[in-house]
Amino acid sequence: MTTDADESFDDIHRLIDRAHRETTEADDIPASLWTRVRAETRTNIVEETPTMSMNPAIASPVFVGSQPQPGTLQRFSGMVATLAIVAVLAFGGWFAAMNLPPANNGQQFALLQATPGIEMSCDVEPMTVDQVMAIVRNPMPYMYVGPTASADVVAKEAELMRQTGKDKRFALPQILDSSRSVTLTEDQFGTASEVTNAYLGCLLTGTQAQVWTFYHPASIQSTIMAKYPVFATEEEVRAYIEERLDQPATLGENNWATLPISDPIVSATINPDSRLAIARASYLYPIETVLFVGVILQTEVNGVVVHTNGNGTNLVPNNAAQTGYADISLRITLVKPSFSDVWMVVPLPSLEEITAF
Amino acid sequence: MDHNGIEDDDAIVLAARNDVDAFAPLYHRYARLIYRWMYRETGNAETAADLTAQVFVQVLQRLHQYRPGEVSTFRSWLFAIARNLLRDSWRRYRPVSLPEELVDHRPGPEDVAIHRSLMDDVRVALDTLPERQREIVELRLSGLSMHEIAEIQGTSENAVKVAQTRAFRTLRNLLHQEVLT
Repeated sequence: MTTDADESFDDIHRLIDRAHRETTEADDIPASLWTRVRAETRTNIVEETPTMSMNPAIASPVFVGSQPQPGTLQRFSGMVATLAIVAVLAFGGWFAAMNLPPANNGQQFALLQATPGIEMSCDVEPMTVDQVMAIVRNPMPYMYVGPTASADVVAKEAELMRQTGKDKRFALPQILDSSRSVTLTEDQFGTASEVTNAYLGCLLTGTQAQVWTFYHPASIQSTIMAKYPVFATEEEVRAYIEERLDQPATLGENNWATLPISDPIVSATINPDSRLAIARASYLYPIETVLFVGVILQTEVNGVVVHTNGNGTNLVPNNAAQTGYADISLRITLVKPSFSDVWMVVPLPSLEEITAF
Repeated sequence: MDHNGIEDDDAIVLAARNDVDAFAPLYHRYARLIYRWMYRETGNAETAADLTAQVFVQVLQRLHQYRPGEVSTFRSWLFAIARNLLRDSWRRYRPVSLPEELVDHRPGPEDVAIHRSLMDDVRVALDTLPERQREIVELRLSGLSMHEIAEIQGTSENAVKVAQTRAFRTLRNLLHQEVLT
């Protein structure tokens, strides 16, 4: 007995077979390919090792990895130029992207602070100066595996890039220029939520080195290098990183220190309603998913003062009248390669700012 | 599609562990299927040939890692390597340019009729599928069973069936006119 699925498959199979036959190059495998395979196959065939995993989450070891070559800061001056777009986005965008109306009620801009012991915490292992330096030198091998990936994983990524000759750049505006809406699965949104909430905890109670563990590598590089001209020495940059590592995250450039909220925040979380998030997948960069999520900030005195959606729009009606705070436009941007479950924060909240770039 | 002879794959693999040339029958059995898959992915004969070659180089280098008892068939092991290579090497680092099909050149209907091949339509349709569904379609086109695909994707046969049904429905809709005319 045939089913609809069988019939569909037969139809599609016939059609695709026809497509191949009508396109000669799509059907004719080069006759010399076997000879080439033989030539490229090393005579010392890999000896007994643990079997390859069939688990799709574990990619096959395509190439034997090698450590990326360290270089001077001059060497990555060109890379800084290529990533300038990210730097501009990260720094040119953040404050303007807040879209904050003038503060009313004579509020003073003050460093945000979490109330000690109330919900907010940060327990991630901070990045070391060596980890940060490696990313500043070359963020590319970290693009798909995250800034805290192990040396082995990073080495494999670097080798893959060398072999393929394609160290694809990350540029959010270009992703969004050619993208389509996608619906995340519950699992995907759940993972993104965990990352966002942990990030928020560290943003308000952690150190710079802890917050960087959540960042997209290009953002880490731009965070560091935006402070320096491209001819900075490696020692200077290292010293700057060392200086910043243990500083509170609230002192960083990409934080919420300028939010006009004066009373302590008791809770900062992702807006858990996935329907209010915006997820986009790129045609241009097929591996990237970009997710914009709203946040909920609750203060000790005024309760929920920020409750935004993926557009950053505050959903609290008459917020200023109720809380004494002006409406605050705020959201968090995350990106995820399709090849991993690593969600990384791009400290740039505004779609308007991105598309205007 | 060549389904014949897969029962002797393991015997050939055993022989090829000591003599790479003994692998030739398996190369000829599967190379065209892999090449076609790579072509549908890349739309470029040279790239498809490169990827196909890489698949078989890897397979030959890792023949000693293949254990018949641990996977249902040799071809499921082979296609798992092909699939992982596609994920690791091609999809991840493929050229950063819009696929020609997605560039809106606004051609007239006649231009479309003249320049768009059936293969273009097929590739555009396959590109719309989520990655997992596309893999299922590609592996089915390569002759693999539900069981083998489930094994490669690390999921259940039922999950594969459900995803396959969705994929076929999408493809049928997209390729409707071509299929039925």
